Amino acid sequence: MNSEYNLGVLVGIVVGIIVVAACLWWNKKQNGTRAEFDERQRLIRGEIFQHAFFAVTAWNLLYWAIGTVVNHPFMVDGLSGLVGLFVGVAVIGVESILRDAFFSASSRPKSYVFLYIAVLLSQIPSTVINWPEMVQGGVLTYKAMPLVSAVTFLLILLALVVKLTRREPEED
Amino acid sequence: MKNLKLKSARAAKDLSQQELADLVGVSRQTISSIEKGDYNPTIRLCVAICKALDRTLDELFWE
Repeated sequence: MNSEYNLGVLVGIVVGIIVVAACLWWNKKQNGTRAEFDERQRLIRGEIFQHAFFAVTAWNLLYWAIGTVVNHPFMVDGLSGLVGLFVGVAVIGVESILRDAFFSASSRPKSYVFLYIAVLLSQIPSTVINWPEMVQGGVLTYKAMPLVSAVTFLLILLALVVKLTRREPEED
Repeated sequence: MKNLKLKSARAAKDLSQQELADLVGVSRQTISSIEKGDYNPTIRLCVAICKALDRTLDELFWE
């Protein structure tokens, strides 16, 4: 590994920490010190975490099974585990949004649309830069991670937009 | 089974689902789910709703 690669990894980690810190700050600003989720949401989130666990397990089994059958790895070592994490995040994000368990009672879902658009847009430059080297020798490399991240946030954003546009009216 | 007693008690107090949700500290969707019979609330939430609507547990949740 050359120093440029190590510098890139370091910058990526720093940017990741900044993004996570910004998300936590935003979340705290939206919710204040109130309890995050009500009892129905906590119950549903428990089910959703189970679904995410099964989805990640299914992903790992599928990757292993296909790799065994064709006797050729699709991804470099360790990448399937990372992709599996994003599969889990996508399941949690999409299902909890669609089942009204993603946002706490005090938060404003519309304000999150802009946050997710910003995160999605931030992945585009690195996706474009890494595009030519994503697949090397028929194997997906770590350079595909910005694309995986972008797809995950795109799915969550789409679920959010669908939920906000098809929100059931209040029954009075 | 729909909880029509809760819905009518809320309407009698001239409260929207969102207003009742804010009073008891849950999301509007949770109140909607209780009224539609999709969610069985805990006794703690039942009591909070009863207090907010000035009703008893029997009046709102006993079938």
